[in-house]
Amino acid sequence: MTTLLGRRSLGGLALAALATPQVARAQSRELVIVSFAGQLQEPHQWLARRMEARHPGLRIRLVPSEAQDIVAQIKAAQGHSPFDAMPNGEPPHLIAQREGYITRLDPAKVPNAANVVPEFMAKSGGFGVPASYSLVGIAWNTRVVRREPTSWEDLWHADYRGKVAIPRASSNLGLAVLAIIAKVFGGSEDNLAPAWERLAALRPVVGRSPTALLQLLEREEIGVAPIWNNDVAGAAARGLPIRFIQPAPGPVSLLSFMSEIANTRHPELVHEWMNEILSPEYQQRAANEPYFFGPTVRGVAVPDAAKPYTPSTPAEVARLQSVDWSKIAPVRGRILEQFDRTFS
Amino acid sequence: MPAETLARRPAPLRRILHGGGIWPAVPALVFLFVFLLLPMVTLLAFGFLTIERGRIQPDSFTVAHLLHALQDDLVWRLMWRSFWVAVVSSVLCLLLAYPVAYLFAETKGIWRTLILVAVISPLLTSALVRAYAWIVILGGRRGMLNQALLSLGLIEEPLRILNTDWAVLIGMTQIHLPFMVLPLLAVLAERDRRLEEASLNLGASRTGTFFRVTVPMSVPAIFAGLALVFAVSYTNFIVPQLLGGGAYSTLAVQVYEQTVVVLDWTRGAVLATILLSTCFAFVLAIVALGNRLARWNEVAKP
Repeated sequence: MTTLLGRRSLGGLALAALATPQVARAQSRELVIVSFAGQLQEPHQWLARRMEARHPGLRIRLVPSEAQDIVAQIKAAQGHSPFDAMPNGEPPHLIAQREGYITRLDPAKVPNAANVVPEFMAKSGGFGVPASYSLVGIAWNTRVVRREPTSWEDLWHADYRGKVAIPRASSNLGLAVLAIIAKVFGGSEDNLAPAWERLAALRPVVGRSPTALLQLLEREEIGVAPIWNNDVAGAAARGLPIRFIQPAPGPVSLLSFMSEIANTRHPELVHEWMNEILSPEYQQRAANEPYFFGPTVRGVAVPDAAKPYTPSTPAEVARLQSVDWSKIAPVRGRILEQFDRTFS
Repeated sequence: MPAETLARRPAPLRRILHGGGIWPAVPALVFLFVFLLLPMVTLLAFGFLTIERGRIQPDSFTVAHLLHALQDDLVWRLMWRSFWVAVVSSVLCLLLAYPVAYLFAETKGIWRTLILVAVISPLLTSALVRAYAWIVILGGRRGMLNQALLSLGLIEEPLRILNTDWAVLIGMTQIHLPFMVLPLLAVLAERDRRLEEASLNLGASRTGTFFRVTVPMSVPAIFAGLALVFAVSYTNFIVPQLLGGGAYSTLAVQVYEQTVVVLDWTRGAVLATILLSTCFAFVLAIVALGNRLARWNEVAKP
């Protein structure tokens, strides 16, 4: 009897020990959210801490990664994603929609979606929420070139010969630059030929990624490059002699959507995360120094410090250039091939 | 188990129980099959199928994707670049590695240990870190090389090395140097020095002895090193990406971009098939040439 009891006790203890991690997992939920790298992740970190405080036992893990890498991982996992939500620029947002990796938005579950600027909301295609927007303009290193560029055509100005870099067409930045150059020189999203012709004549240095472009500017290998406003803001805040201009006829604006990934284990928490992303507190924080994410919610003022990087007047907003990504995203492979045929 | 019991068992089972045959290699073979061969075959098979939205389309087996890639001048151009970079970096590695290995063979004690540590220590850091180190050294006006040349007054404008073929060659050669040094170390340190002594005693100069006796004795190691360095250079995509810049592409870079960036698994798999099969063919050719040149070295078996 004693032996039996002893065995039962031991068995119970063993079962309890085996069950403990499962109980712990059930009590401590984990939300895995794709985020930005480096300093730009800080607004997400702030929001994660806020939600964790609200939900005892919840852990939010932010994974810095490129949207395209995440989409590739989800595709490889046949839709069984280890992530719950992700920010996507417009081109990967369209691809994720088409491939069925993100979930259609139910506005009733994200009440703050009603406060989003309607034009931004319309671009979501019914998937995710527009979390912020960023600008593609021109950065210049004041130690390498003396003259401030003012327009997209200035990339071909004689003063900058041999000192211009462009991004590779594999990134959203590269695609946006290609599209705006085509438009400036009489082409369109359907007709990129003018851009190929002009870029071939420019004989630029090519940065593999936005980060690589910024490093080229930092190391003074080049003087001028089209780049994201947020990246330039970060470099300027570190005291580097790099400035951002919004070139004529206007910088390109690209939205970033926060989307629920299909088959998430915690849809209610993801909806809360998306709702918080659209809260005035988060939007104001993300719009401020040193992040300068453009606010997408009505009533959020652009801070003074953000004015060199984010349009703050109706005239500046009117100058913003947009790209019809539905024409660019499906032919991204062909664009990249053409890029290699032209430059490689 | 008693010997008479074993003796009664059928021969194949007896061999297994004795630890003979392929039995000891089975765990490794299973591991390689599951984690190397199967994924590789799956990936390569994607090049002969049509994949839509991550799903293989039924009855879609075709060689059209491969034929299309083989007719594409861009693929040939990138293959030529991959080949050229691999050949030049292999030769540079040989030229730099041979003196180091020779010095190792001629030294003893602590010096020998120090050389060995110096050769192996780069392998302890990732190729990514070493490629970034080259960015710091070669990069622009603020790069260490240009800073030094500018401050010495040797140049007026900074040299542009990063984002060129030169940067890729420098990076590849430095990163892959240990793969050439290690086989040479082993062979040169263990070579039969009596042959060199005989050559010197018969009146040959030191230089003549080196080129006519020492180098031929190290031919197997030279070709083993060439095959290793060629394979890792031909398929490397980190160094071209980081040091070659955004306009610099190779077959390996294309495989990555088509698979991860463009999400065109079919084209990615086709390019991977071309990369893998050509690499295999080139390595076989190097090994075959090495065997041919080292035939005299073989001892006739009685």
